[in-house]
Amino acid sequence: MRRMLLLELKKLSKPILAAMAVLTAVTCVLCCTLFRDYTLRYVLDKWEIGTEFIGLLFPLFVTIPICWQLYYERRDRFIVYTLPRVSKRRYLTVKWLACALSAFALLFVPYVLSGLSALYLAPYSELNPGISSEYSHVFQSLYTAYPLVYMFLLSLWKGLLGVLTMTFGFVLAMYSSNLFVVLTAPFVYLIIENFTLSVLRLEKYRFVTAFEPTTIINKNLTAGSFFVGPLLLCVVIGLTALYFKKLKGRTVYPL
Amino acid sequence: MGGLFAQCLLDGLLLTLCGVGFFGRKRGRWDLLLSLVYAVLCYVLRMYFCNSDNPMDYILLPVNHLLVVVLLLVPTMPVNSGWFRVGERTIFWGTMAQFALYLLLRESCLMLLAVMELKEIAAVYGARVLSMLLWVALASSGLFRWLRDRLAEGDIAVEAVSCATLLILLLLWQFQMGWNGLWLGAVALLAALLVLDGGLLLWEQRRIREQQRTRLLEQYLPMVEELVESVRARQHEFNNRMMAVSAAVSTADSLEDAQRAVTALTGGIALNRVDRELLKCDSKVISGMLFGKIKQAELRHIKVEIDLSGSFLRRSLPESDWVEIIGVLLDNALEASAPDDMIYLRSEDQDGALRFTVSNPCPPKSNTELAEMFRRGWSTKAEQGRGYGLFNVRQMVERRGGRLVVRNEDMDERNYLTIGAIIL
Repeated sequence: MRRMLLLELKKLSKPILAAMAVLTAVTCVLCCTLFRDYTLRYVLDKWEIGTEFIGLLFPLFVTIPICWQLYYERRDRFIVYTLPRVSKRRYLTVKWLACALSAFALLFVPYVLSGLSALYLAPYSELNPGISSEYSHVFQSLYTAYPLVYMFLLSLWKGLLGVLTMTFGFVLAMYSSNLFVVLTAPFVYLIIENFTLSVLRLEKYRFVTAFEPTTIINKNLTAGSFFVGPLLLCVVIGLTALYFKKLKGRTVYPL
Repeated sequence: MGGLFAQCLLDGLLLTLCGVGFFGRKRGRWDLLLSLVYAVLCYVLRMYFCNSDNPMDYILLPVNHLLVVVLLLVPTMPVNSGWFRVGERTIFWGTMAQFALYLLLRESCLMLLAVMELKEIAAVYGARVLSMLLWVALASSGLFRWLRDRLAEGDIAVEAVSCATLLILLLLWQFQMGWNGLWLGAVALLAALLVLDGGLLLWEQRRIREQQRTRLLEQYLPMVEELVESVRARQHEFNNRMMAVSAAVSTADSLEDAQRAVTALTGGIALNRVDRELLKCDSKVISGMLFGKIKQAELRHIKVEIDLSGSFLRRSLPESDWVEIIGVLLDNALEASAPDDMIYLRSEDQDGALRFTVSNPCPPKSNTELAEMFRRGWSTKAEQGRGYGLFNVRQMVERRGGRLVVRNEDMDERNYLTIGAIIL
């Protein structure tokens, strides 16, 4: 199992490392430069400003470098040749595990490194905390007193949500025969979900809110804001798998 | 609201037209339905992701922010993939080209409208309608068919140019949206893209030349192998004859007997003159091609005399062009000759250049007729699609700074037409 996991990770290593390097470089640079046009209250504001764009594009970052591989393994019938070595369930489990680790690292590493650069490398900027009673931020005490812990925990959470988003792409790669659907469906789903829940005035339950809790006013945020969006995505993933398997009669291993 | 949807519908229609331009018409009239899909996409993005109500902000693109362009581009790919059903690579680059064309048409029309000083509502709808008319004009020129074929073949140059054009136009659009602070970086990016495009085009040209050479090698190398085989067979025969000569000399009773036997045994063992000349040629592709043509001539009872000296390689003309020129000249000579005629093929060094000529029996021609032969479409046959061989030869020779040779010559008491080229 361990060897297989390493092998799968090795297969993914090049695109993952390249994407991670690019994302890390971009976020670090943005965290050290973009805040100049803003009034900062706390030092971690630099990190929030510099990584804002990931909140919109992260489904593409965690799907494109990872999910294409399973799609091509199915299309080129490579997956069939794994059958004599390992069972279907085992192979797909290991594959998902490797993809999950990659997706997690792909978000966690750039977030943590850009957070560190915002905290310790970014040029000094005057902070203007203002009147504290007028200020509200998610996990405010952690954010203001222990920015490193806040940054680390939120990066961890974002990494986990990245794994969930990647899983949608993974399920599509297991059944779909259209590469563009596999690579863009998680992104399109999040746009549609964002749009629909906004129209229904349920912004606090969007997946984007769970991913980036600062996108809505803090007082509207509830515990459900962190779980409803991801749970909805889990339901959609399950329904997609059911649709392909039961209604369309597709198989992961081509005949 | 109605105005907004009308604008989105026109945007969707233009996106569909651009898509059809690069992917072709797949569902006939139903292709128009695709504009509805695009229109809804544009409408949703404009309503919920763009922060301006001014229609002038959407005069170039259906959205007013670079990040929202990505939101438009990403769903367009699966939509195109599902609708047009072509290869993944074609869809990816085709979608880039589709957006590049969309922007190019709109930019051109906007410039025209600016000259006409049209503003506000006239500009908003005028740019949309005018760009569709411009698309119709481009479509009737056959440009899209050519681009479609190149994209389907996976032509890297077309893909790179499409992508670079899209990036450049997006950059221009950002300037128009007031993103002026980074102009220096943008100009540098533009220059880098142009250099990249140039490099890619050169690389593509080189790749095509290599492909041509490989194709020629595949075509003519078997003939060279046949030539070498025939020489080897002759060598084997030569060894046997030598052994026979040796035996004849050692068993002869007198010198006269030995001389008679040796004369009888050595007759006809010399290497064929044509084969010897072909083996002298420094280009295996050319000697293979000549060997094939000579075999063709033999089948038609036409004799070919070859006299080759000088190098074909290391000239300004690439090997593939040499093959084409020699092929055209020899084919013409074979077509114009009757059985038992003789064709002369010569190459020689002349003041550092290579002079290559082919001569075949022909009634004398006037200077005007000789000049006419290199005109496009000139042919002695009435069939369609002929008369391009000598025209192409002239083009190739002149492009490389060479000179054409064409004249009447008296040989074997007959008039011969000599055509050739002098290449540095």
